[in-house]
Amino acid sequence: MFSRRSFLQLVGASLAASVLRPNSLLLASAGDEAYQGRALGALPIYATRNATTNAVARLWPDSITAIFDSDDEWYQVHGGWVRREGLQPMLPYDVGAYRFVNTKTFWAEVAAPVAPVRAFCAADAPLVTRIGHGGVSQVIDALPGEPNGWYGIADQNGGLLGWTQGVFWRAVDVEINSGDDHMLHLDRKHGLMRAYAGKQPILEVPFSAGAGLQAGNFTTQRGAIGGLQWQDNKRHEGVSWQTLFGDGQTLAGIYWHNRFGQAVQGGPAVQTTPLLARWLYGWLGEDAHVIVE
Amino acid sequence: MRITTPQQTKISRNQFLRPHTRFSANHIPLNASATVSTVLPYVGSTGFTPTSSFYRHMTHPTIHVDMAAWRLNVHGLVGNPLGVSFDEIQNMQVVEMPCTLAGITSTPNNLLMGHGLWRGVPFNRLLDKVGLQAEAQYAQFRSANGYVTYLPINMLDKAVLAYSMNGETLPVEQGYPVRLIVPGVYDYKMPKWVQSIELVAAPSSGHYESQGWSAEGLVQTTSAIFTPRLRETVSGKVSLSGMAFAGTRTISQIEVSIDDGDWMSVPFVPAESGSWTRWQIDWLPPAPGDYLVKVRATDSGGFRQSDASNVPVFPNGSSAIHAIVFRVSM
Repeated sequence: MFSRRSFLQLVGASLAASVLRPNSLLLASAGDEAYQGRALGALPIYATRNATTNAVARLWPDSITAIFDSDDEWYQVHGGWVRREGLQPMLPYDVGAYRFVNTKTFWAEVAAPVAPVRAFCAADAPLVTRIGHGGVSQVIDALPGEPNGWYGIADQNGGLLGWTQGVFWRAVDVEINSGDDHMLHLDRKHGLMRAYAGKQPILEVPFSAGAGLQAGNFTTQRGAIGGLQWQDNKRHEGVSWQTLFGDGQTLAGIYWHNRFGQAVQGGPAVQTTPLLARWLYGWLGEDAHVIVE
Repeated sequence: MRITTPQQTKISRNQFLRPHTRFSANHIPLNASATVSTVLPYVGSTGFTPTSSFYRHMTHPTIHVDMAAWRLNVHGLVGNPLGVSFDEIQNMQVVEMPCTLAGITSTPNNLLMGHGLWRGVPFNRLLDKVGLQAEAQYAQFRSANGYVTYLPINMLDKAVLAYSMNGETLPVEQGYPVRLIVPGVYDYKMPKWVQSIELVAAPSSGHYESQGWSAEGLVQTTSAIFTPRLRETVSGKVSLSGMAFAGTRTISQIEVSIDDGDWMSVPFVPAESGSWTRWQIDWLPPAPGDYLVKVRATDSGGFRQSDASNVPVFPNGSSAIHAIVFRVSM
C-alpha cells in the first residue's frame, strides 16, 4: 500500500506528532537507533519523567539531540528526559551532503535546526526572521562564496525577503502519491486528525487549530509549498506544505511549537508538523475529502 | 505523478534512521565549573590580567616622578596634615585586594578593562592618621602631572592607595609610585601618580567631570565575550567565554544568544564585589558557517543590559551588549 519512502515518512510523521500511536510502530522501525529533535528553547533535562525534580542539565536552544524513546509527554534524550513540547522532532541534518545550488528559483527547506534570514549576506546583518527546521521558502537568488554561499529567499509576493546561509537549507521535491479514496478527518473536540485510505485508518495524530476552523465536508487543493502565517501577532515565514480546503482553511506544517493537540490563537489554520504536512500534501493531493467535525 | 525540482534531495533509509551522535553533547551544565580557561590578554594563568597587557588609558602623558622629592600630602579639612614618603607608605599596614578597572569610554568592541591584584595602604588608614573634620565631604585628588578628580568620602571605604600590582611594583604606566584604586567606579576616578589628597566640603574641579562626564563615575553593568575572538575561525566544539561586571553590584544572571535565538542563562560563580565575573561554556555548532553570538548581564539591582546597539558612552559609560561574529570550519 505504501512505498518504502512513504512508510518511513509516515513513521517519521508519527514520531513528529505529539502523541505517537502506536509506539511500537516507531520502535520496531528504529531498532536500536534514534531519531533527532531540535530544542525549541533552553530545555531542561530531567533524570526521570518528573518535571518537579531538579533538572540535571539543559539543552542549548536550537541544538540537536538524539531521541531514544518517547511517550505521550516525554522524549528520552542523552542524559535523561525532556518534555515533548520543548523539542521539535526533525529529520537528520546531514551537513556532509550539503552542496551549494547556484540556480535561481527553487524550493528549499530548513535542514538545520534553524536558519536566520538577514538583511544582507553577513551573520551580523540585521535579522529579518528566523525560520525553524522544516520551514520551506523559495530561493530566488544565490550568492556563492565563503563560507558556504548565501541564498536569497522570497517573501509572499515574490520579492526578496532576505539572505540566509545556504548550508542551513536543502532543496526539496514534492512526492505525489494521492489516491481517490484518501480522506482526512479532523476531530476538533479531541484535536486529532485521522487519515483513511478507503475505510482503513492509517494514521491518527494530534493537530492544533484556532477557533476559526469551520465544520463541514470539503475537498482539498494544493496551496503554497511555503509561505507566511501569523500567530499571536507574530509573523512566521516558511510555513510549509499548505493544503487548502473549504473557504480559506489551510493545513500546514509549522516549526515553532510541538504542542499539537492543544488549541492555538488565530484563525482557521490547521497546524501540524512539517514532516506530516509534507506527507499529507502529497498524499491528499487535489480533491481529496476533508471532514471537519 | 511526481513533481520534482531540478535539485532533488534523496533521503536514504540510513539517513533517516541513523543517529548523529555528534550532536548529543550539546548540553549546558547547571552549575559553573570551578575553573575557567586562561584567556590572554585578559586573564593570565593567575586569574589576573597580565601587567604587560593591562590596558593603558591616559589623558595625560606618562610621567616619571622624582622619588627623592615625592611625598603624598594629605591636607585640607583635617586635624593633622600629613606628608609621607614612599618608604613610609611601604612601612604602613597594607592590604591586598582584587579589583577590576574599566575606562568610561570602554565599549564591548574596544574593551578597556583589566582585572588586577592591588596592594597598598587603605585610604581610611590615612584618614585615621590625619583626623577628619566634620565638614569634610569629599576627597580631591591631584596627580603629579596635574590631573585632578574627586570622590565623596563615603565612596572611599574600600579604597586603596596602591603601590603594587599583580605582586610587583606598580609600573610607571599604571601610576607609580601610588595609584588610587576604588572598587566600582571608572578609572578616571582612580588617579595615577597621586601626590595630593585634599579633604574638602565641596569639590572644586575634575578633569573629566568638568567636561560633563558623570560626577560619581559609577561603573555601568557590562559584559563581554573573550573567546572566540571577533572574526576568528574555529572548528569543532566552541568554547564561549567572557566576563560580566557591575562594579560593586554583583552579577545575578549572564545570558548568551546564538544567531539572534533565545537568550539562555549560562552558569557562573559570582565574583566578589568590585571584580568581574568570569563565565565559560561549550557549544557545538550544527554546521560550518558564520555565527553571531551575544552576551548580556543582569546585576543584583535588577538592571539588565539593553539589546539596543546605540547605548551611548557619554556621560555615564556604556552598558551596550557585546556581539561578535565568528566562523566555524569543519
